[in-house]
Amino acid sequence: MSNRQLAFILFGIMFGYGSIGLPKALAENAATGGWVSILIATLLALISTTILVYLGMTHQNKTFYDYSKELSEKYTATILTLLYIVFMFIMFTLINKLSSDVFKQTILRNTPNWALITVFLITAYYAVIKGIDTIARLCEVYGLIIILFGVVIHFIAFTQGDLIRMQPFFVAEDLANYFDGAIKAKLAFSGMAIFSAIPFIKKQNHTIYIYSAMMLLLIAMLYIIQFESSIAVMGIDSIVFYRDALFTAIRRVDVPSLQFLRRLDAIFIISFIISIFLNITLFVYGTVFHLSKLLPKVSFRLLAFAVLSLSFLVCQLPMSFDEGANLLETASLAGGLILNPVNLILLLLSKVKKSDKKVC
Amino acid sequence: MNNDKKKSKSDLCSPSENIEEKLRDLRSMLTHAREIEKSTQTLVHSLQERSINYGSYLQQIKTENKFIKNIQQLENPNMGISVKRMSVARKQLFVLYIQELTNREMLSQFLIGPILKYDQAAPLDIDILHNSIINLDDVTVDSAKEKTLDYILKGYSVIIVDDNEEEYLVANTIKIEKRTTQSPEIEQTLWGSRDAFTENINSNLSLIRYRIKDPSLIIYKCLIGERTKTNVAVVYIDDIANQEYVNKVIKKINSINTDGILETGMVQKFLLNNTFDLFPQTGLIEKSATACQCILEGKICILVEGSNLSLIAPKTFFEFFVSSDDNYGYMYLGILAKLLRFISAFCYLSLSSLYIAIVAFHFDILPPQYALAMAVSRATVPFNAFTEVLIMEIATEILRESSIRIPKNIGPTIGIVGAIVIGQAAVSAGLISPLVIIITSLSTMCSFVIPDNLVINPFRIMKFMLLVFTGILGLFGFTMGLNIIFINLVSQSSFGIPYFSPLAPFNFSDLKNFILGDLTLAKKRPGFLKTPDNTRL
Amino acid sequence: MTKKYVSLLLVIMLPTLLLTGCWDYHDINMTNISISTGVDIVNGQIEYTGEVAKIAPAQAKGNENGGGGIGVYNFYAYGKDLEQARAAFDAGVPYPHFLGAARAVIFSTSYAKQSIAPYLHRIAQINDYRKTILPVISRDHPAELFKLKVESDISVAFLIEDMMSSLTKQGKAIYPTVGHLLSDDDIKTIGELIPYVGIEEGSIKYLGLAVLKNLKMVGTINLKDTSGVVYLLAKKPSITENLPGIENKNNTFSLLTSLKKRTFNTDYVDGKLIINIDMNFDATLNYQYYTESTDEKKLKVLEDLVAQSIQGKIIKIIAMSQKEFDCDFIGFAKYFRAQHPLIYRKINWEESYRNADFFVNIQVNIHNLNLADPNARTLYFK
Repeated sequence: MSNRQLAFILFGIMFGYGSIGLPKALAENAATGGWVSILIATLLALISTTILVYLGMTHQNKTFYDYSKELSEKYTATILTLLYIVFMFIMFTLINKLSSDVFKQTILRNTPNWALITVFLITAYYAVIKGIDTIARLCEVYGLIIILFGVVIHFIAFTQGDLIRMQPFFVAEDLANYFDGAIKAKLAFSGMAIFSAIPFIKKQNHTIYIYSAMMLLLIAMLYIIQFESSIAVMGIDSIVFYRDALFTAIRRVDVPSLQFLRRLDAIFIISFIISIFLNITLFVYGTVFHLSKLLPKVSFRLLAFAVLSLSFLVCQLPMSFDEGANLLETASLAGGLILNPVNLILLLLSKVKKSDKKVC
Repeated sequence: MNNDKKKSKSDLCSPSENIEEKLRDLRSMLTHAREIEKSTQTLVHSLQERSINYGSYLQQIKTENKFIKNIQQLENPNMGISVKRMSVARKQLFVLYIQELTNREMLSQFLIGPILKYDQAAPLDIDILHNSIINLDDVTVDSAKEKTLDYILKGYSVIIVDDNEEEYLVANTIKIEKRTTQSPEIEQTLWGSRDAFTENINSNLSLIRYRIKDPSLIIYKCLIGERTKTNVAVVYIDDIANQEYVNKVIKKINSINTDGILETGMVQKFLLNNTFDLFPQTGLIEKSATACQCILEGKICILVEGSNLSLIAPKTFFEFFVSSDDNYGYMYLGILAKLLRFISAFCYLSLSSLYIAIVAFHFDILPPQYALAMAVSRATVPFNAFTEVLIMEIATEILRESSIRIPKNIGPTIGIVGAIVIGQAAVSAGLISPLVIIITSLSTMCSFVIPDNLVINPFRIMKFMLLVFTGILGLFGFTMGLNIIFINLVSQSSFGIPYFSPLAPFNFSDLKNFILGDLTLAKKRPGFLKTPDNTRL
Repeated sequence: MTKKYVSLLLVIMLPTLLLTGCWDYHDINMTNISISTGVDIVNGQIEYTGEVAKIAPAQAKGNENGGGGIGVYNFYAYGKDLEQARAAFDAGVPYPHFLGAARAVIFSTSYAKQSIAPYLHRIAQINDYRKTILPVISRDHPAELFKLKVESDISVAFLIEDMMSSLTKQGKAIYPTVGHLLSDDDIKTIGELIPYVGIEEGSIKYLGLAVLKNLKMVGTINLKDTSGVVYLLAKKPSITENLPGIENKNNTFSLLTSLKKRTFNTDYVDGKLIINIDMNFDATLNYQYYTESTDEKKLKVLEDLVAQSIQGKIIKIIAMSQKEFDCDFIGFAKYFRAQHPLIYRKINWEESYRNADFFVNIQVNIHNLNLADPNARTLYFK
């Protein structure tokens, strides 16, 4: 796997569902200074990504279960891997459910939820059984498409917005609020956990640190463009009323000179669907991969099928959109709070082992 | 037979009492028997007449020569082996050949003629025949008795000297019905050479040799097909083509185990055996110049005896969109043409689905004027949009399929009928909205823009899949349908090369070379081919 | 083997599950395409009117103008509140509604005085309504508007929308959308402006702007006074200013102004709000009624005169907003908030705005005489 592909995998898993509610979350907590929050969140994400990448790089060609077994013992490793599995399972199940809700509310009013969920899951199954190579290639191509569409759509939206609605850009007194906003933006920056399921090869991936940092920066830039363009169109006072803030902002743009593309929804919906598809697929892959490490005897396809069926059943639990959204936010925050310290401890352990070896 | 009858006559005579009566019976039986005899005779005669073929003559030859005996044993009466028997200088000679496969003019002029004219004192033997008499270039001496029949079946003439049981002569007198080199039919270019491959493998190979005079051009030949024994040649340049792919191809070809190979397409079928891969991973090439270009690129060209198409492997998705003249034509036009081809492929796949997505699901993504115009255009149509599009798509597929089968001289007529009946009449009857006619005909036109039509065939099927997806879930179904096609596309690999390179995995310089497609700018061969010698300039 | 069965199961499952219903499938010609809606209060009841596209097939229209035609028919529905009127309307139409093609929503003055917020929020939350739709307030009943036979456009709504968008393109009007109104309303401290239309001499005319405070109509600005608003709010205001001749009193200079730069600087000094408006214009001398020679000095005088004229118009509008309507409909609050966010959080904006000091500084440059040379002379006249 090349560095580029790894970086795009990071893009694929991060950029997607989190972006739709991000403008609202930032406008609520950080008002027009939301971009500062995004940068802070990027910094936090960079730290946890680097820890994971470092772990992967010190343990060549191994994934989380293998090296955690090496650093601790089998029992602990199983529990830690289970943590990852549960985290990723909750993430993709909720993302699937909530985004299906969003699609149901916006473009397909009468279609039952389960139909959308099933289509997502089956397509994800198809991609996952094709293996990580296929998913990586998919991420590369889709990533380019999403970035291109995103930049074009939001620059067009900029031209329709008011510059004054984006100001003030920075208020020093609000710095504490900006940190609040950064924590609220956690959801949009969760997903680096996928690196726990991908083996690294030192010869190929020695510059992966730079690549992943650049990719995080790119994601941050896209989020900033999205945030600024949507508040330029709607204003922070209005955007806080909409859970699908980004989509609402896009629907308030109408550029007559673009003729039949004057309404940007269609392009936006397509790029949004594929970005959510990438989110789900990668989380599913992570879940199934870790599970297959724990149960090496069961075939990958069967595990994938079982995981997706379970996810489908979980999606059928009665849950309102708000409950789901809150749960997702909590899950992403909890995931960050639990998994990052775990990774950090493993990192320290591997450092200790290394120095032990040197002493010996 | 006659003996039998006489016997029965005597049987009847001896114990008789009422002779008169029995005599009468006997007479009638006799006439009856005569009739039978007559009819059997005519039957035998006609049978003999029919089987006065060359084989029967071969059987009649009485000789102790082991080669001839061997053939006599193996020969089946309808194989059609001809024998020319000659007695020259006290020696008995036999020339065995099959008339249909042999160039008989050559045979009589350069082989039989000189032999019969032989008037030297020295007794004729294989050496003299070989060295001083036969006027042919390709004559060899062989001694394997089991190979004689094979030689004859391939069209060689086998010359056997009656008293020589050690060796025989084999002369190449193969005659092959062949077309002369003609201009290409399916792979047409505006500025390009016009010599296409023919059904003759040797002349095809000569076309390649003629273009590439490189000593490291390798032609690996093998026979496949238990019964057809088809010659298959694998052509590549040793120090350019990656040995890994070459081995893979050769291994796959050698492992083909079938009774007959008649077309290149059959070989292709055996090379790719994953049924779930939707897209073609090898290219069929008709023009020898294009084949040479691919070989120079580091690809492997497979020629099959009796087929005018050559197979190119490996081939990636993007290469289907390149026409051979893009590389040396005006560069900017090439870029535009490639862009147009991609747009066309996308349009062909998705235009009708997008129409359904807009007309039946998300009319709000269109500006008001467009929405109204669409509604007006559909006002009289009794079907819903999905049915309407489905009918039109099937109708165009029918037209397309029929236009392949229609004899050439009535083709244009049918085209006009199709256009008038389906286009004009359906619209004026209010059955189909004009917009759908525009969309289906435009998308059909789009499908002919792609230079290598093989890649369009999967699209023809997937178009309908996409249509159903869109009909159920609108734009969401459309996107997910495209998604599934796309996953299949990127998951494929052609002999180990990712099918979607150079875009995924991304390689900037390959992509640049692909887009610019200019010979002078592309200094390196495509990286994904992993060629040992990757510099072009 | 299990693998094969799993994929087979999936292949069979997907279509069967999905084909059980094409839930959202609905052809466009099987909808009522709304072109516009009007909301009014008549006899204490909500009157809900509007135009729906009449989709005529191409043949029915005959050959006169080739293609098919789009006609409209009007509808009327009444009810105690919006929902009842809506239900009454739904009870009499053949197909479900499609609101995405609506061009304008017309409120009557009486409804607007009560508040247009309910209807705007309806537009905001109903998915297929475009948020870029044009809201207007009509002096006359919307029902009467819709009854008019429009010669110059497809229907009333098309006329109003085309009229407003072309005026805005020329820089002579502003075009607020429902989205803008909602965003501005959410700021709470500023008012809004909506085009005001009515029937004059049997046809629909743009009469000026209606001022809304918290989405309730508080008054109107006449068409001739709106140029002050346009100078302050339009993206590219371009308004003709007519000035009397300097030497020849009969003469009139017609100048076309176009905005080069506009800045609003706000400040808060000693508990007083100060707003500086700096504007820089280019002007073109379109024509004169009678040719009067011009020189640099004269142009300078002209420039000053134009600047004064513009300044007067702006000051008039600001006075209106401070005194007459007591509402910051220009939206200075947005600028103040952007420039002094911390002070904004502390003060009561309405209060401060009422007593704010404005400094309007206008600069005009004329360096375009529209290719005319008023100073020309020949051998025969000087």
